Amino acid sequence: MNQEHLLEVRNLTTAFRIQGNLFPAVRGIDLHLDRNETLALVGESGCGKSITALSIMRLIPQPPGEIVSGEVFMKGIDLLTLPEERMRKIRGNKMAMIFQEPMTSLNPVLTVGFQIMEALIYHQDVTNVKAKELAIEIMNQVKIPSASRRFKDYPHQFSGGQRQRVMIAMALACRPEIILADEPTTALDVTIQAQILYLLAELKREYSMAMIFITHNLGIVASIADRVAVMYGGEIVEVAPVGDLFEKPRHPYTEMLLRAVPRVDLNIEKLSYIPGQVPSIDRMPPGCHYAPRCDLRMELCDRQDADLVPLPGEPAHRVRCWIRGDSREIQDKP
Amino acid sequence: MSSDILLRVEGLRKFFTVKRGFPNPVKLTVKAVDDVSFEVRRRESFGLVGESGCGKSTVGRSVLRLVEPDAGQILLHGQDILPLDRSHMQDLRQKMQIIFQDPYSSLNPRRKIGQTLAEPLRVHRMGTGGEIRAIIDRILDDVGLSPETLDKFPHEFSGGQRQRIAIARALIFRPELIIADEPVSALDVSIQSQILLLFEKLQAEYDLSYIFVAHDLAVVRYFCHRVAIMYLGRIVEQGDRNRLFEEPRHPYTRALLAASPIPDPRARRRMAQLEGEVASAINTPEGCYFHPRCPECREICRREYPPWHWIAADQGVACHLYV
Repeated sequence: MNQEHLLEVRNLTTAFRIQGNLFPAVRGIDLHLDRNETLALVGESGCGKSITALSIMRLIPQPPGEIVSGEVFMKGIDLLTLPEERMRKIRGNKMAMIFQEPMTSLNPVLTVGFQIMEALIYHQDVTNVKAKELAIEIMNQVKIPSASRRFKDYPHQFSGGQRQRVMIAMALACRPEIILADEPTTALDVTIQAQILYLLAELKREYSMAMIFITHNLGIVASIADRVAVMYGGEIVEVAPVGDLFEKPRHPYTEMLLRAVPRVDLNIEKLSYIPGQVPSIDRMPPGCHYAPRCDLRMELCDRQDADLVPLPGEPAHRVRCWIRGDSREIQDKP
Repeated sequence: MSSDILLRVEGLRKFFTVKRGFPNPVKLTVKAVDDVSFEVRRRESFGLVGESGCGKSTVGRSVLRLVEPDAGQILLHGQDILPLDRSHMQDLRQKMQIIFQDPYSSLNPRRKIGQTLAEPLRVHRMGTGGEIRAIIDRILDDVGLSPETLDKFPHEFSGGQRQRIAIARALIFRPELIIADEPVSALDVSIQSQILLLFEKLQAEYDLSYIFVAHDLAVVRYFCHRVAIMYLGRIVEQGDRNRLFEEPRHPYTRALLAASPIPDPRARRRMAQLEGEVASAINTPEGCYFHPRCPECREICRREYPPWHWIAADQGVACHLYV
């Protein structure tokens, strides 16, 4: 077990039961997260990025979901083998999640102040008075104006951006070491999105947290991530430091995706596009999941899935592709 | 020059009345659209951009009279369509069509696609069964769908395919203008570019003009020829795409551009911080609506709404900085 990483996920597979059959929604996920690092998980709908985060938090609804295999080490302890009571002490305390839609994740009949306090009372041995004090302090930190007055307000009295600040306050109340943010700005307007991204980056630095940031927006990835994992069809297809991923993407999917994004800073004559559509989890191709849409595909790609392997001389840049990955792989597995 | 203009909107206004409060509701006025003027040229994509609640969708719907404007003129080929009666308006809607963000909620779930597409042609008696079938086949091919589509129900399609179906339906009467209300915002990146390219192809093939309502500035920069930026029911800046994106004048346009993430880590910068949130269209601030958030706010901005000013032939702005 690798003690260096704060979080390490190995060979994680989570499946869902559809009409009696189990289909993997994510398959063979390997990733790690270091202290103070922001890892972006990027991909289109259904690629498994949220399922990965929910599996790490052990929040997969069971049934229909099921973590079939894998390990999730946090500081050397495998979270997947912990009894639920111990996991509950970690969730929301050492590791917290921020969701996309604050209105559905906040309880509409409880005041926001109470909802922020709740985590503190549950996880930390504090009195109600102290918890309230701490809750107001964190509301100030996420820049909710006149926090002590708004403590008694209900979620519907907040705007979308303010609600997301409340969500962040709840997640950060116990000063977790790891934050999992699942599309936290997708429902927000662009000027508010910029405020929230800035706030997250600031708090992350202040609290020395590590963050897994899930998004489909490559612009956000470029502006906040240290490393990026690109997902497609339930698998990680490429991992790289953010600069490498944007400057020299190796997986054909990453490459095409980057060319299909319109840009606010450039005039683009003609956008590229990826033909076809993302396969659904019950109709995943047997070989490389991207093969049916890939320009470069060979016969082998249809037959067998490639492994996620480092590029020669670049251990941090790994690619799951028969053509762009380590070519020795092809010779090993005829 | 003027024959080039398909649609001209002059001084469009739409206020809604809402009741707020319990148990004694108070009637309040939402200034959804206030004094909006622009024109759309033939074979042009005109972008209406802004954040939620800025009135961009209401403008789009007003053009079709799906919401009835309170004041202003909407001139299609120079003819004001607001005084027209129902039956004239129905004929006119063949020339102007709308596509929504979520095609699923605008397709009847119990009808096969074939029925949905044939119905308007039958209602308007556009030909025999065979002729109608031929029109539909041709359009399906144009939007990149196979003939088997006709025997399926909306739930059998992905978001991108449903949007193609919605586009096919909009094209049936060979309209001159399509109002596309956030048509790609619900789609994934790889599908979004497919649909944008389809819109471009159809523009050339069908001689179409678009009013493209969107919040994503990157999409607008790629797709639109001219753009209007809206804030709280008013156009604050409009002009040619290149000028607007390269030399934005209004502080709000600048703030929007600075807040839009760029997919290039080398462009990483401290994302511009625009303080505060969009005010409500119920309590619009005194003076310029943007002044409470504006980094360049002056004394006059607090008192007077700035007049419209054309800086150049193809760029205009409502801001005291340029008067």
